[in-house]
Amino acid sequence: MENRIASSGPQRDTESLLPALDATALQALRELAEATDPELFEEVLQTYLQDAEHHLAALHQAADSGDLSGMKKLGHTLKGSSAQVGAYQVSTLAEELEVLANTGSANGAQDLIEQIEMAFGRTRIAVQHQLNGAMQ
Amino acid sequence: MNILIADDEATLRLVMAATLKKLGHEVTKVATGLQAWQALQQDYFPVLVTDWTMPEMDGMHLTQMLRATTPHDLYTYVVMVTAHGSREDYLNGIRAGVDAFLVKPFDEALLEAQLFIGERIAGLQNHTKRLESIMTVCSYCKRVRSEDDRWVGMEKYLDTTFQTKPSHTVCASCFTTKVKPEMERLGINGDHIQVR
Repeated sequence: MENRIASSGPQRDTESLLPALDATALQALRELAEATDPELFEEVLQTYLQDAEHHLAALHQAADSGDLSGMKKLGHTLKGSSAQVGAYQVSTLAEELEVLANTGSANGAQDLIEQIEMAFGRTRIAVQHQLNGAMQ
Repeated sequence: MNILIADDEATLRLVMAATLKKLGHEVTKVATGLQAWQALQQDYFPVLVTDWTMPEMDGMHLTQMLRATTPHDLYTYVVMVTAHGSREDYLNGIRAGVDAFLVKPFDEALLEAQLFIGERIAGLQNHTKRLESIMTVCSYCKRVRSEDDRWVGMEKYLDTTFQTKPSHTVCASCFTTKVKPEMERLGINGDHIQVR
């Protein structure tokens, strides 16, 4: 974690060290769907994409208006929901944003939000790939 | 068990609800602390699984309200699922009345373990409360009616019901009116004995 914060920049090691969508988490979700509701797998991933997009838009607004409390809350929420579906790149960066906002400084927040946006883009592609596979 | 889930994140609500159903429980889902509070007023839930950070009323406030009022006069075991993590946060949560914490993303085995404990704790709390509320004492002989409808001495009742063995002594009044005369009858000097 410390190394990742120290090497700030658009190409940090978050991307290489963490999966955009973790295979183990996906498998657990698939097994849960098989045991309860076959549509759950698709429903959870679709819901995650919709909610995360909404949170990202709100994050940009919070950053533009210097709303540290809003950034902290949204970072926290994005961290939890992303971790639950195995989107660990997004989750880790969101946690960094939460920690940053908690220090009372917005320095570097825009950079972090851009990185979250990029990580989410990779996650979205991975989710779409999974959903296309699930529908075939 | 009928379990209440309170979480503003739809993704987490879906996964948690499915996991609880898989474990054989009935589930009610709400998205805010206030909705959870309203649900707790309406129905009894042996276990509440709640997020910490929620709109309108957060999980800590919800737990404090629950502990302060005890709706339905029955105990609800509170599991807080959170991405918070400082020692102070955990201590504050426990002081507020939270029984257990789970970290997001939650682990199914740990959740199941917490539900076992929750069922046991809520059951014991409610059993004790029920016994306390129905303890019937004879006005004359002071014996207590046991759960199997027999009249038993207070000591036996405490032992069988609460596994409590009282310590024994003699109060000052009984010492003066009963014990001392008996000692005198037996020729024993009890003047040096002090009883509070």
